Amino acid sequence: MLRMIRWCMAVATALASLAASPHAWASQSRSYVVSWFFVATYLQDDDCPDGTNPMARELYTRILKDLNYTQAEVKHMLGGIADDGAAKDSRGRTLRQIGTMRGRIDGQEVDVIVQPYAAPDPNVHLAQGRYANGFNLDGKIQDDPQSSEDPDTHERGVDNRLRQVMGCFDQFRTRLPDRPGHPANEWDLSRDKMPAWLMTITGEDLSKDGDVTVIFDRAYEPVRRDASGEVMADVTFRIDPDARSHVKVPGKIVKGQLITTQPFEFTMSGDPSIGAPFVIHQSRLRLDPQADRAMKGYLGGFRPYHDIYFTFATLGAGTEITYSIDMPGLYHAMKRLADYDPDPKTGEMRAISSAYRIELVPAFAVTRDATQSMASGR
Amino acid sequence: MIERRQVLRGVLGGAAVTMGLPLFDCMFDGNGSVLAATGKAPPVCFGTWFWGCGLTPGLWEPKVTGPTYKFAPQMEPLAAFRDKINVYSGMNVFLDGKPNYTHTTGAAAILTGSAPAIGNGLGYLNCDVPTIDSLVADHIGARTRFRSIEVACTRKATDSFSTRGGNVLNPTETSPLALYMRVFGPGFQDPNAAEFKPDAAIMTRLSALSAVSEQRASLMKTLGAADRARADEYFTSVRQLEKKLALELEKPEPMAACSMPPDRLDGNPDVDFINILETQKLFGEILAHALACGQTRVFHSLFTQSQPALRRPGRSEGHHQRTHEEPVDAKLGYQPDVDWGNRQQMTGFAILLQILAGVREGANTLLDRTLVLACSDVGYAKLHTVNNMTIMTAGGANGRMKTGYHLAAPGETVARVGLTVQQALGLPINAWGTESNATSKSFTEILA
Amino acid sequence: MNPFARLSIACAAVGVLASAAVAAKEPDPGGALVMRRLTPEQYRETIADIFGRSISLGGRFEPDKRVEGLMAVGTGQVNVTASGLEQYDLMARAIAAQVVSEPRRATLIPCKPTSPDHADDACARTFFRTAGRLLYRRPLEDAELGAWVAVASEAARATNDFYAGVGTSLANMLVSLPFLFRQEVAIPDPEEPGTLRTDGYTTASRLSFFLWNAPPDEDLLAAAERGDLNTKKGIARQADRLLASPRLEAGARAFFADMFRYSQFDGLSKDHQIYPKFTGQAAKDAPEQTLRTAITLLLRDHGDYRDLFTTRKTYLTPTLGALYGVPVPNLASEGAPELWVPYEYPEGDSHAGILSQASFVSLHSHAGRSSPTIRGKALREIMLCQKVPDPPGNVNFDIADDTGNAERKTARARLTAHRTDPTCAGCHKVLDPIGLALENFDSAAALRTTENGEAIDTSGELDGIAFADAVGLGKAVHDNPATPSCLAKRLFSYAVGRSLGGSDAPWTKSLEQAFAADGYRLPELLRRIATSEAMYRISAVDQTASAEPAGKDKP
Repeated sequence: MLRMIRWCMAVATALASLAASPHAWASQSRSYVVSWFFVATYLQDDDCPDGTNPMARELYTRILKDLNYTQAEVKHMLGGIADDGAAKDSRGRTLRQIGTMRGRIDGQEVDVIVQPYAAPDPNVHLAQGRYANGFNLDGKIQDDPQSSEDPDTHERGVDNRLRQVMGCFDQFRTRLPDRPGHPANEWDLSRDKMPAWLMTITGEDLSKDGDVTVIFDRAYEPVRRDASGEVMADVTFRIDPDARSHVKVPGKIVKGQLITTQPFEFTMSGDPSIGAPFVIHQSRLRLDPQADRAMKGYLGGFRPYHDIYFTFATLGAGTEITYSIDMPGLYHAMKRLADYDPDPKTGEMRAISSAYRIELVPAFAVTRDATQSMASGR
Repeated sequence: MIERRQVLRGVLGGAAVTMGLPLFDCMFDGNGSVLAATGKAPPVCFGTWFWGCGLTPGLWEPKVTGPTYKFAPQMEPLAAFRDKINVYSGMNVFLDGKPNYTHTTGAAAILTGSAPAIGNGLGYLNCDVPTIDSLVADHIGARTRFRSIEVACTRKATDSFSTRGGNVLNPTETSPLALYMRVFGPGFQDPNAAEFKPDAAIMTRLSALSAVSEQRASLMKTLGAADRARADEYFTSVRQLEKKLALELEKPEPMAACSMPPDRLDGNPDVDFINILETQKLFGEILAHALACGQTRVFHSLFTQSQPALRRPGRSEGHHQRTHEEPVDAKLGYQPDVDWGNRQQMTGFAILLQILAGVREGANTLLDRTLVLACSDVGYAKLHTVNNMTIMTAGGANGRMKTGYHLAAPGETVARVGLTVQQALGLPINAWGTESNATSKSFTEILA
Repeated sequence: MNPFARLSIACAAVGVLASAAVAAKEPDPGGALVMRRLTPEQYRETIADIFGRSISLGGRFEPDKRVEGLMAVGTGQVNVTASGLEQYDLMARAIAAQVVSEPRRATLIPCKPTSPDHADDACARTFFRTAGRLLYRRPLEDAELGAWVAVASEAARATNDFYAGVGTSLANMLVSLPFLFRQEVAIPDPEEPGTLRTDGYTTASRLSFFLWNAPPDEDLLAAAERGDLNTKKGIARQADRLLASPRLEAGARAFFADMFRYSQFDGLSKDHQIYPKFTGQAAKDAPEQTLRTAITLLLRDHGDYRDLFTTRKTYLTPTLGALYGVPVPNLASEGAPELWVPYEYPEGDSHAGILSQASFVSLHSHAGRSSPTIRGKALREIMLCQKVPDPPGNVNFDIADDTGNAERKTARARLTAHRTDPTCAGCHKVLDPIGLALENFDSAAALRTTENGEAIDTSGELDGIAFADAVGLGKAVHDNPATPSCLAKRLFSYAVGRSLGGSDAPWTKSLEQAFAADGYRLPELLRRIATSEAMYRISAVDQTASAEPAGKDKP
């Protein structure tokens, strides 16, 4: 206890002395805390010409029929779709249990949420269209028929196959500034308890174009909410020195926009529903400064699709029933469209191109002993 | 003149006796007119009314604050009761690093003043502290036949946002017919016929209070003119407290509005968005009659679950599902099915208020002496947010709560409403809630 | 040993010497006896002092009233309404039930009844004699004690429970007038024949509530009983004891919270769209920041009162750090309240003194924008004790409120346009040049250098002293002679619970001079007032006091 107090006093003293000489550094630093983060799958007109994927009721009608339930039994079971346990089949199983155990391996029932390959590929609808937010990850433009054009930068050859997989699930169909249902939900629920993600930019003069260094870290504290329920700006966070959540990459400011200049491995620990850890290979970052000192943009790269799948699987069959996401369908589609990181043995791709919307507000980031501090985004 | 304490001493010494007005007449300057003019106020009642998935931000908050405001679109079903309703907007639940247990945390915080530390993720209450209806019941419900009555129009006993703490729910009554039998079945005694026994504890308090009022003579001698006038006001207040206690010792006014509920029906057990209105009507009638007959003074009424599965006719998904999945209509700017469901829910509330307002008691109605706190579990169901929570109160709490106001307290804790409600009901508290939800700021502008 | 206690004793000694040198005679004629209602804080402290801090109060209090800038003066004018008494009654019964409860009775009731099921007048008498003396801040008269014992006895018989009886009686004592109101009594002054002064118990209460914001303790009551408090020497001895106690901080806090009008934080809210960082927690922390700043500077560091307007030292929480835009990490363990950390703004920073703190700039602003006029008025009224008339009722505020006007982007531009009306110009001329210097702080106390894209001009003037910004304003307030004299007058008014009149002027003038001679140190000023004749002198007792016919008292 006494040690804690002494430490607190040391921090306080250090801060006070820091404040007395804010211009001691030759370079400038600005820190931010991630306020929103979710997969960028914004809808476009006519991007699902064959319709969107079925809602839970329709999905489970098909699943039950495939399992040879009669018309009457299907009707009975669907009566309990929103209230698990309200309806049971002749073997006493609820809809959720039936859905979960619909996988078959060698004739044995298996948990299809854990082993999604144990159910046949339902061939979910894939999103089409010219545009997708993201980055040209592989450098190819002409010979990549699955690539798109970024609607903001108009860069061509954009690789974002995750949008194709998810774009026809209603949960992911929104336009900015709306936030897509399921992923936004998971982030909103996680951020109050999950240690915050921090970003610090360092450069000669951040008010001008030029080279910078971008560092991502994880904080000890979760974000704090302001009076309007959004993430509060100018809050002080302590940096967790854990190397598993530390990313450093060169970048530059071009016409005010921050971009990274070489692909990097993004790895941060997050809540299991986000990704623990959250890894993106060959990452790119693009952020635009906002009038209120916030930063908004995209982080793109190749994500291991098993990681993506299991963030959805944390809810079990609930993901199917609550969010109408066909889990084996999601799995098979990602597996088919994966475009990076071949398995050395089988040659199968293990990661899928993707883009994430990322928004940040100014913050203070201090090291654990607070002997060093970084200036705020002010 | 009889020494008051002697009278009471005699009363207290003997067995319980029926006391009438004349005895107390002789104790208050023979000033019976004050009593007659005041009349006996019927007791205050309290209820909580819960519905799931809130309303759509931007479509329920009145545009202006204060007493003259218009209802926003999703509140239109309640328009007839605008003068009896207060709308509270902008208030948040502060989580203090605790998780947002979806469909639980929001309502738990409004009803307990605390963000729950544990949750079951299933969208009903799981709290280690009591909900406001239990707190109020301890204060005003202790002497009625039922301390409180809980009902769920969803007909499921575990659908409840009422607890006495300890993470145990107060189970809800699921059948209107069963509730009818419980309240108006063989155990029911007509309050208008029952023999009255005055409460010995009140007698003791009244007797003791005379020691306070009897200080007047000696104190007055020591005061200057200005302070004497102030002391006079103080002793007038003491006299009023004595009168209030004396009234409690009298045989209560006959409960003129007490009658048996009209229907002895159970309604349609299939829970859908149409049948549930009928169930609300049946439960509402029995609750209103139970209040009017003094059988209970506190209730909890759950209209829909926190994740309502009720469907709009013609739609395959339930209301909760639609809140998450229905796209925002580009032209309308909101989710049309969700909007329909929200209005349906407010219609359910209007049914309850209609019944309470329909019970006439002299110049006033049962709603006037009741306070109903209506709340939901989320601020914006699509994202499970617990900001800008939808909260209303209806009824005047026997004149202690002014009505017809819109109160906006953006960014402040939802516990302000619970605190205000408890103060209006006379609970002796000046602060409520824990951690960042703790508050000592009630909406004093509506406390009468 | 508490280091602060030593410090205060030292300060007190300095005060005695200085006092002899400056103020020889105090010509104050004194004031009337004042019947003050306990403030909520005083009620809480009383219960905590007598029955322990674990007793929970519940209940709410009737609103206080601010008169002549102080709630402390208002307490001498407020009543207890019927609904207020109901609340007192609820609290009283809750408190009494806790006092006689099974776990507490052994320690709080100084005797055991012969049987817990029966009345025991002897034991009840012991309890009410002791507790009653502390609650009434004087010994009970025989008739009073008899009445409370009788009530306990009757109630015990009715309930067959000694403790229920004591509880019933105690609850009623807690709603009785001599507890809820501080009654004062005058006696002929034995040291100054022909004049009146407060009696020993009144003196004890005045001293104790002034310095501790709490009722007199056992020591003070004993001193009153011995007659010590009828002499200057006896009062000085007790005043020095109170000044040396750590409880002085609570007393000083209560005074500054009153003088700086922090009760207004209760109804304060900001537009969360414009000021999302101004949370409920920020509103709680803002007054606390200034109180901590003041207590540290004035008591712990024994500093110059005027430095409160220039000091760069303060205390911050992480919440306030976000509000002001300075780094303050949260060092508290998860779920625990935030910790306060000392913080010093660098030389040359725009923040200096308490005027740049949220407790001033946010409290005296609109919900959605700052207000140079409100801030200027608050500074004159609160810090300089000057009266500024309210604006006339028919003012057109359209121009001042039009923050979106493309022509008039800053508050200065809007106010310049608004001031064209000569009836308004007079007041605005003395208010705006002060308030405009604080325009670098928005309504939520965040630093800004532009408004609507236009640079903010913070130059201004206070009583002929020009300055460039808020730091300069702080310096001007520091150097303004009204600043320390305002504190001296407010503090004396607070101590005696009445507004000051012309006949008090010679005495307050000498008090101000003494304050200057003491280097504007608060402990010295407190001591000068606490040991002054003026604090206990009673001008005249209302002759109509005992004129009421006895018969009218009967119900």
